[in-house]
Amino acid sequence: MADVTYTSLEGGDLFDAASLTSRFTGITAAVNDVEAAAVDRGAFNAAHLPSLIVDRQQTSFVGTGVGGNHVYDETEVLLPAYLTINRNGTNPPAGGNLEITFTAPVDLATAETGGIFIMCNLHVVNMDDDTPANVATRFITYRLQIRDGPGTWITVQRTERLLAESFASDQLFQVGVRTLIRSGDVVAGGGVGDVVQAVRAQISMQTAGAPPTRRVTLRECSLSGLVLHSSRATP
Amino acid sequence: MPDIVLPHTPVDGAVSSADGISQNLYDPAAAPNSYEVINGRLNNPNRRATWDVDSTQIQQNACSGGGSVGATLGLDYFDNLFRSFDAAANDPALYEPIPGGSLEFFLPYDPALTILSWTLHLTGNGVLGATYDDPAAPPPNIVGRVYLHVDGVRVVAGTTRNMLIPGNSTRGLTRSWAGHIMIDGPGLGGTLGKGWHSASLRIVIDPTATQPGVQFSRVNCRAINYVYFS
Repeated sequence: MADVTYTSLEGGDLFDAASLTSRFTGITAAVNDVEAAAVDRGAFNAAHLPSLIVDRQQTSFVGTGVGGNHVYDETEVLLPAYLTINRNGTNPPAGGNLEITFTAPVDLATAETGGIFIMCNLHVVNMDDDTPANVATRFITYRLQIRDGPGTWITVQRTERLLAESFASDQLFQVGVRTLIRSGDVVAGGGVGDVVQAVRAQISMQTAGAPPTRRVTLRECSLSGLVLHSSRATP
Repeated sequence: MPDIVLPHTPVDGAVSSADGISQNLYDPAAAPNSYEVINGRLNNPNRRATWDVDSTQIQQNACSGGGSVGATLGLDYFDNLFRSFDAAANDPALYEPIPGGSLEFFLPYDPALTILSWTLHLTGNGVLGATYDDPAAPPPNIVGRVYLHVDGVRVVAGTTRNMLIPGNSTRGLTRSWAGHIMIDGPGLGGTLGKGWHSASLRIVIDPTATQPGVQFSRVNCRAINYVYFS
């Protein structure tokens, strides 16, 4: 707290409403201006501070196919195009997308918001085209995108993951992504401003070769986002 | 934003009220508009506008905390361990918690939410001709599974919270499984509040399942983690 200064009334001083009010005003100003130095290390705990969580959203599913699978093939998506992962494994997605939308658009440029922590888990059953010769030259790719304020989807490049194809056996890999979306990520990805409305996970596969058709089979997928509180006065 | 706005301001020419002056100085009922707030009632509005609360001013684990366990020693589970298991009843109490994939944790306050994340790698015995594919909506087809349990209750909301033990040698006998779940605390309308809790990966193999199927599983690397946020 700022120093409280109170000038004592001495004998013979003028004592009227104004002199009393000015003394009150000085005390009020000091109490309303508590500074950082007034607080000792470790003074605050959860009871003093707002929740760290400004918002949170999560979704998870298995596919609608046999065994909970959702299958994507080269007729549906090939690089450089991507497809949002969805329960039906169809293009265009017919609902049940691996996508979360926040309760309200998150402005990462405000003092309240520190960032958006994203967690994504994808279970990959396999990528397979029954042709051993193709194994070394083909891969699956995954990525996360965020939707900016105007509504454009922006790729978060550091979330791109690649997985090589196998032949006739299940890979049963887990693709895990953990990242923190911060102020500047929207513009860095080619978007506008610092607002994030939604997050989604996408899949694609490398263009190559002749038939038979390549396909990627996924099963359990989870996507979560936490909007974390910040104490910053400026982003 | 200033917090204290004193209710009484002396005015020249007006008779001052002793009660009013006293209320300015000390009146718990008038808080925050009394100097009484310095008795432990100062809060965010009294903060200087340029002061950002620094992490050093916050107690350790006051806003978040967490922990994890893990293990690598192979553990073998045979179906006869679950001899009393009845797939029709599917009693979660008969599932076996996996050491290294189970933990107890204490939440020191009501958190906004808690995140559980886990990873597991195991091998099924594999019988030619058995299907690998998960039944779409277990139960009733239990066969052999690992479920996430929270506070002893099987998490069935969302079929991503469990995995089937592989049993088809033509498509692979081993499987890794990883996932996460956010569970709301009272601050967000949930129930995972202050106090002790448990989270565990629990395995079950149905000894009566149609054969060929899974009769055996070896659990290898596994871990489970929790993080809570105020």
